[in-house]
Amino acid sequence: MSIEITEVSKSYGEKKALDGVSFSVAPGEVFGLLGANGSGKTTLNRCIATLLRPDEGSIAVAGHDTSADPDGVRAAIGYLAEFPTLYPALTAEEFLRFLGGLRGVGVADCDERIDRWLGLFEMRDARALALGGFSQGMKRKIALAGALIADPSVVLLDEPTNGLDPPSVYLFRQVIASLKDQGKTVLLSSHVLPLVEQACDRMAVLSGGHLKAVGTMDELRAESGRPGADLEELFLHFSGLDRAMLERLADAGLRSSP
Amino acid sequence: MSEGALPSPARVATDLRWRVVREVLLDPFGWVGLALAGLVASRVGRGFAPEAVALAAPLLTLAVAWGAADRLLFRAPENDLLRTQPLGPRGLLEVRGSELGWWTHVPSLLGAAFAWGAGGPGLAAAAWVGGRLTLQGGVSLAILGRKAAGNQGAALGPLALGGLLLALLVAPLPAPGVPPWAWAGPVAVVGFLLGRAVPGLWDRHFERLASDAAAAPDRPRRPLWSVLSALLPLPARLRSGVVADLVLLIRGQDPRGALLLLASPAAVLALELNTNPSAAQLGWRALSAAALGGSAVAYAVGPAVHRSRMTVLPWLRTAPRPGERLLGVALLWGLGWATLHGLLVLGWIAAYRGGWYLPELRSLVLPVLGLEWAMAHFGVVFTLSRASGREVIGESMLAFALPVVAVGVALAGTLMPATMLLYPVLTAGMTGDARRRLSAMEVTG
Repeated sequence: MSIEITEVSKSYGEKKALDGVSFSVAPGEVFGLLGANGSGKTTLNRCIATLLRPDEGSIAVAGHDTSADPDGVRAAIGYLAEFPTLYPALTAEEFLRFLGGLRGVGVADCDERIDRWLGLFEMRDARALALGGFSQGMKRKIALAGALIADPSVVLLDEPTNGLDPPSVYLFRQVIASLKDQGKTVLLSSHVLPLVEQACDRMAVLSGGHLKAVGTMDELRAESGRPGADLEELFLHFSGLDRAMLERLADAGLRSSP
Repeated sequence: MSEGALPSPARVATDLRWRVVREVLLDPFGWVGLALAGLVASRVGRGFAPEAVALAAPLLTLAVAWGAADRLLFRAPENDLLRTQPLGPRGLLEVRGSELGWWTHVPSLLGAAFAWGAGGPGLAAAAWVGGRLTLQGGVSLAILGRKAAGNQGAALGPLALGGLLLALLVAPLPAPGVPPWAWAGPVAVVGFLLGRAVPGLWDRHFERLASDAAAAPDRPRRPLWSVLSALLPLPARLRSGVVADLVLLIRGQDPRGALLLLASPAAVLALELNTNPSAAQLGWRALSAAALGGSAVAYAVGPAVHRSRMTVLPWLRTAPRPGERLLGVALLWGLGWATLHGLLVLGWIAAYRGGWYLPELRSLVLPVLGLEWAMAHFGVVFTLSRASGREVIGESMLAFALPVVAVGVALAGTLMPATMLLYPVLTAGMTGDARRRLSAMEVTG
């Protein structure tokens, strides 16, 4: 398995952010991680990226345990954080060179990849401009290029399309598809359900730190007993939000009782 | 609370801006740097005619106020937020005018220190008062400069005024029999009258100038990265970190570090070579200069640059061997600056009176460089071994620890240089902590 998560729990003080979460992601698979705000998606991503240590359980990435061999994990992954921070005083090209240097990418490879990514994102004209003046979408594109600069075998994308316009979301989806074609493993956390439905082979639903369901769309439909359901309905069902939400709508006088 | 007691939006915005600005202006390290810079300005001022300095000091404030006003009113990113608040143009002017007053205390103080060196406290007071009176004139010049030259030329005005200032300092001035401090008067009067025109100019030109400034395209940055990468012969795995530190320092992302590094050469004043010191006195003064400047360097390469680096903590942390790499980059950065400062102290001694102290220089090389290296190393490992994200736990303790390190290493270097080799052994535990800390730290933000 490319990512193997076994009985992982993580708490912040009294608050349990993850509680006994287990699933695995196969090599070359695009796997979606769904959950409401505060469900534990970002905490799980950070545990996989070695930024946090699980209190219990274990995580293996590309055969390396995140606790026993974090550097092996770091060498294998590319991580795009939910709110990626960049050096505002560096230019796009300089920042990508900096990240390439951090990850030991040779100068020629780095140049070629920077040119390829900036070309794909139509940002070649912006390569010598300071990142501080970039729009939110431009910054996210640079951050994605940075996460992929070392050509990692496992890619962790936490809300990658936040702040992007529809053409850019389409572009990101094509990038994810091309990563799959190259045999890379992608873990995609997103609130954008159509993106997850179109891009992912399988998906998991997290709610309150618990894993509620794992499977393909068909498997999730079968498990929920809703054969024609779309991902939004399945997500609301598994995260237990459908009934609660209908009750709140009814309480607010916006809908008749469920 | 009654409605009449509510502060105005401009007052609220000014208070909020003060909370942001005070972090920089009231930074104790910044004050240490300013004091050192003032000392240097005062020493340099001794070489100039008091009349010229009396003219130049308020002009310095006016030039800085012009550049700062242009940035605050037209180019600062916070204007996007301020302009959408219920302030109106006059409110924005009030907020930014207050901010300009805070920032220009720095050039006013330096101008006064320069004048003190040239003509004593009377001239310093005149330079200070003149500088404060010309302040709002900088706002008028910023508006007029933009109106005349647009976005491209807006930055050239303060530079031209700076050029005039330098020319005044070297030009022979007539001496009509008035006291030197009176020369500050004309500049102060012109600057003050210019400042009186601000509201009218602002009302007439604000909308167009602000709109033009907001539409200005970003300018490409100079290709610093490639040049520095080619020039610095560094190990490949550490090069990008060191080059990033240097580019960020040059572009102002590490202002505290830049100020400390710029101020550190002032430590050569401790040498007092003009008093004909004996060989033993020269040795102690060289070590004192190394310790003084080394302290500034230790802060710059320790806590100061650390904050700048931690901007991208998740990127640093998810790269392989993060702690080891950061320690390597930090030590290269620190030892590089320490070496430069040590060479400056030694070079200053070597160059004095065409090599007057050259015979003593050889015995000073190891103690001076050893002390500089030890202090920079201590600044780095103290910071990294106590790092908690951007913060350094117990950062103020460095101020107490550095003198102890300096005295210990200086004594060792003087009495028995070979014992300086004990320093790395004694600090090996702290160095190990510094290497492990980043790799083990939990990153939640």
